Amino acid sequence: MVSFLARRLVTRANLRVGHRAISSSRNLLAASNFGMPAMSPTMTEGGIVEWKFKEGESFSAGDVLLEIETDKAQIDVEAQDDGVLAKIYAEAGEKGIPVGKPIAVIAEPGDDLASLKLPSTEQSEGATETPAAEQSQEESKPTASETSSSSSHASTSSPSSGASANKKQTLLPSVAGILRAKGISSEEALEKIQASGPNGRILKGDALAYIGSISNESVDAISDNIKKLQKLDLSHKLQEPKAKSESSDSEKAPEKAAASPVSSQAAPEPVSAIFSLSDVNLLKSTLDATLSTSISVQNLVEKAIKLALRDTPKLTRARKSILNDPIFDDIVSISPRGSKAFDYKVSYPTSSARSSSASVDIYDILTSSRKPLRSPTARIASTELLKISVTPNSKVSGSDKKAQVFLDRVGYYLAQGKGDLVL
Amino acid sequence: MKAKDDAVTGLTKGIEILFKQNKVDYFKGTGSFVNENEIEVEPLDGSEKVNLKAKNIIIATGSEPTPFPGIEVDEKKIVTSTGILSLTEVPKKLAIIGGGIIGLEMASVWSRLGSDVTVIEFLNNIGGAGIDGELAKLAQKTLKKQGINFKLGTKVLSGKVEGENVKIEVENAKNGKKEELDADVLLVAIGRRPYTEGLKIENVGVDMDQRGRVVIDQEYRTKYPHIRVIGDATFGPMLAHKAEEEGIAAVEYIKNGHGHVNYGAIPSVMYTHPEFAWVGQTEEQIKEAGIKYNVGKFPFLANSRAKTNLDTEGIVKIIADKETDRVLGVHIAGPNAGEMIAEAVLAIEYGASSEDIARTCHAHPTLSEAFKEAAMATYDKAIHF
Ligand SMILES: Cc1cc2nc3c(=O)[nH]c(=O)nc-3n(C[C@H](O)[C@H](O)[C@H](O)COP(=O)(O)OP(=O)(O)OC[C@H]3O[C@@H](n4cnc5c(N)ncnc54)[C@H](O)[C@@H]3O)c2cc1C
Repeated sequence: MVSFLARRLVTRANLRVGHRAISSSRNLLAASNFGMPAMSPTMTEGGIVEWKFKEGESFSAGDVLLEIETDKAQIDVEAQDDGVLAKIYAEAGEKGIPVGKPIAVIAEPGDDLASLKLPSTEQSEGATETPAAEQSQEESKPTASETSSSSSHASTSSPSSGASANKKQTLLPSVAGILRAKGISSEEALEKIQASGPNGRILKGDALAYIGSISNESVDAISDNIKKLQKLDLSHKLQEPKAKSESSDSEKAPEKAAASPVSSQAAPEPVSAIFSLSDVNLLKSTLDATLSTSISVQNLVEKAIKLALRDTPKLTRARKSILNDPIFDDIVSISPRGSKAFDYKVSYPTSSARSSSASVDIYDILTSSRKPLRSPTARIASTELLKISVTPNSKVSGSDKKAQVFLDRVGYYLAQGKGDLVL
Repeated sequence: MKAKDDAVTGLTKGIEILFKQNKVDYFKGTGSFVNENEIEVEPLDGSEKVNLKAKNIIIATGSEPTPFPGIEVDEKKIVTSTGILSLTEVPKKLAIIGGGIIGLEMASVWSRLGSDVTVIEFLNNIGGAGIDGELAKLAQKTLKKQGINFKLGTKVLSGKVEGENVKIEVENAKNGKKEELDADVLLVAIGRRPYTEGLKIENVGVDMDQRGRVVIDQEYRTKYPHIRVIGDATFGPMLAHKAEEEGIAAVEYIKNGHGHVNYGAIPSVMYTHPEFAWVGQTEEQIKEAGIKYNVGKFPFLANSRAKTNLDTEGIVKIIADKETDRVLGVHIAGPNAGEMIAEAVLAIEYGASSEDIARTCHAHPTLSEAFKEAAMATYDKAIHF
């Protein structure tokens, strides 16, 4: 029986160490054996390098459960669903375990381990076929990984969706109807249809995919969509918390390290940046020559600032989420109405007399198109430099981020947005 | 008002009795952090402070109305949802800032009690974030018919008490036209924000976000794994049943290491008349996610029970995935929508298709038949419409 498993195989590109995902718990109400996964079509046996969880510990989808080794590679096995590692049969160091042989027992989140009945470890013959007679026992059968391509490639998705069906379920009316129409027995259905519903429930989509009237991808797409919404939406939390809260949650994207301390209470530091105007000067002379008019550099700079101001709110808007309406957030955020997120001052500094320091040379300044330099000390003609100092308004949330984005945008327009400056 | 006070007292006393029965010690007072394992309680009755040591701490301090910058609440003339429930007389003219659930519920209540109600909303639709666009329009239409005035796309500039009146200055967000409204009472209902003041949370130094929410992970843990935050005080919809589910899950995480709240199946109910209730995704969200879908609708006008009760306003709207028929969202406006939504929550929790709902027997004559018919209309076609 090609049983449950690996709806989405997460394989991290790494030559030696691959990752595979297992879907450990969805198919059964209680505990299930966890068999030595087949990490490649040719794999017949493997060894345990290390268990990353102890007996009794619970794990979440995406956690690396254990590391196994084959003759070719060491591979991390990831959990696709949340569960509890109820029992370990094969300890670290054991080698030559045939694919499909139970190496552990995995329980559903919420199962009481004390009263858990461990499934029989007896293995059915061959991992791909199960005689119907063994069916009642089959729900506690080992779980071999669905195989697909080699393990060291980027993520692939296995052809079948969902886990194997929970044998104890009463079929949904829609499913029963489809089976009847196609003359499929419920035994066959429970045996063969991959279930995408909670607790191994066969949904209408699963049955439709089984009879081929829709594709597996449609089922996958919709269960992914729903899965995402089942989690607490933390996406609209602030862009940068003061410090990252430590968490085992693998889903949490690492927050970008903030350039400046972010807090609505603390007064934000003023930021300033110096930009090279070489591109703008070049633009001015081209324009002067071709249009035979004179546009001042200041005019072009003003235009760049105007464009940057226009872009800043768009770029700093919080990511869209169901529970987060940016406009609403804007009006309820604790800021005096209509107050600006920051003030800025523009100056054209004369170059300092010091010769270029070791850390910054002229080449850096001239080529630093995107990143404004913080403190260039190079000697440069005065019309070559533009300094903008931005003071974020501490009463407006996220103002320092806005200020930074604004500066980045000015830098962008001065160096790369020439078309926009002329228009 | 007496009935309200009796209901509230009855329910809260009930909880105190449940505490006793289940051997929960109840310290009535303000708690604050001394350090990450110690809470100081200042009892309400003025008796001596108590220090409690705890292995696990759950913060569930709830929320408070978001203040409107520049508008001062006195809870008499300019009120929040707290003050509006304690008014001593029915205001002739009631202005409400915010057309979200609380704003509309209060609008509905006071307009039925005889107030002339105006709702001022910055967005172009009412119902708040998360309501289906079609339902929002329907809500506006039915509430308008009941005599509630709406000023949408309108910014409030200021609100001040002047003598017996409240003067509210508003501006049309599109054309900038200014206008002055006056009212006997102004309700500020622009949303709620987490309340953690007084907790001295700074003594333990957990991370806060810009909107004052304690930063947590999927298991409600702050940066200290033994301090968790649930309910209104943290992320997610501010709903009583969501807070309750999280409370249970948080304890399960502590006790067993795992808990479960399905955030994709949390119903919202707006207790206006008719009621509005929904669960799952809105049509707009589904569209945005690029999912192809079927919609089935059934009006209560064609439902026998609704017709008999002369309460026929509203519809049941079911949205399902086009290919798998899995129910993605259910949106109901109508009599007892808040009760009917339970069936939809169950359907979503169990991954039902609209066909599964339609093939389940519903009693006749009941409002629930409208639900079944909407399901039929989703994957096939309704019989009675
Ligand atoms: C007008 C209105 C109508 C609503 N209608 C609905 C509805 O119909 N359905 C629905 O689901 N939800 C509704 N809600 C929302 C619902 O009330 C909240 O989601 C729910 O109460 C949140 O529960 P909680 O436990 O997180 O916080 P709360 O119920 O707010 O409880 C927090 C408690 O903590 C106490 N506290 C705070 N700080 C301290 C401290 N330092 N020490 C000790 N104690 C402290 C507070 O006094 C309070 O008792 C409504 C809210 C409002 C305002």
